[in-house]
Amino acid sequence: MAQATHRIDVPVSVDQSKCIDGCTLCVDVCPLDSLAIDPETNKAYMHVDECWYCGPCAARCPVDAVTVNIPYLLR
Amino acid sequence: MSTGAAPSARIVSLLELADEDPTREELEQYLGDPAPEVRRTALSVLSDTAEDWAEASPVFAVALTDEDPAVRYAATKLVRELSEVLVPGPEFDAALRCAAAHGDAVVRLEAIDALWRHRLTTVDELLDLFADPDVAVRCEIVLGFVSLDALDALARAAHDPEPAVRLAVARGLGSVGDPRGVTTLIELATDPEYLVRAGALSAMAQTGCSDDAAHIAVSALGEEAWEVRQGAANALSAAAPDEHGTTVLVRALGDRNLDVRKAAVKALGAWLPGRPDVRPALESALSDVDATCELMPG
Repeated sequence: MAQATHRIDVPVSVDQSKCIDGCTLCVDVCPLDSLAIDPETNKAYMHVDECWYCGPCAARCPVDAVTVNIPYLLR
Repeated sequence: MSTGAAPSARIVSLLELADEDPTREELEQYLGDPAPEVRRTALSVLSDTAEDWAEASPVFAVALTDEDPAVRYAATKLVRELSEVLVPGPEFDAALRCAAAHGDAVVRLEAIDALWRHRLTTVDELLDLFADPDVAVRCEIVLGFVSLDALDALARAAHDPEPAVRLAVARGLGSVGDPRGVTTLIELATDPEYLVRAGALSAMAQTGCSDDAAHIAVSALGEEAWEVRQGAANALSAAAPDEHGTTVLVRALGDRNLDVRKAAVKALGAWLPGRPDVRPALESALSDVDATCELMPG
């Protein structure tokens, strides 16, 4: 799978200022394992540029840090 | 547990607990946490780890009336998602009834949805709730009427001032499929809103189309809105074949809208056993520019 090189352009963006250090809810629910925890910040980010736009990552985030940027034609 | 720690720290400790199959008692402190994000996460954890659903079910129903909107909406999603596993009981039922009277329309809608899906409600109770000012809630109540095959209640709901509710009634009567629903469908087939007329006519395909209804459907095949013409052709598929109906349906095979043509093909296909004379017209549909119109049965 293609690695995500630009973290702001990927389908799922994580607001690092809101993301809880140590929480793994979004990572756990992603069916594609597209999210991961950055070992340096201990916060979630999208490390693989693959997404089904299914949404549990955003729905489960307790602090609304996760946004799924659904393409216009899929809305 | 000290609630003096930041909510994020309590969420992390809750998630650590989640890996150890926590009991309801262990989750209780998080479900009652002062921070809404912790309560919301606790609901999520409970949905993933619960084993005794009779014990867990009331928790989700009670959370529907949480003071925080984010927790309430998380609860509404879980109550719907977990519908198959939630176990009704006195506490669960009471919490749903409390939520059905909540000030938040989203909560009322989900509570009413859960009440009828779990077969916890009656026609009389739904009729009382039908005074709700929110259109989506009233549409949900119509689904409740449908679940109870409540034809009389649906007939009353057919007079709702909102077209969306009347359309839900039309579709609901189709789902019930009871021929006695045609009386209400005939009323809705002359509704001022064209989508309601279309829905009512299409529903007649499932309830059966009486002679009176067929008369309206034949007229409706000349309407401007293609949705109505399609509904009329659908209705005629369930009507007794007659000369005039055949003429208008054969004409509809040349309609400018492909969905109308397809519905006409299906209707004439249903009439074919009783009226073999429609076969040449159906065969002509085999050369229709749209492949889905080439559905000639028999």
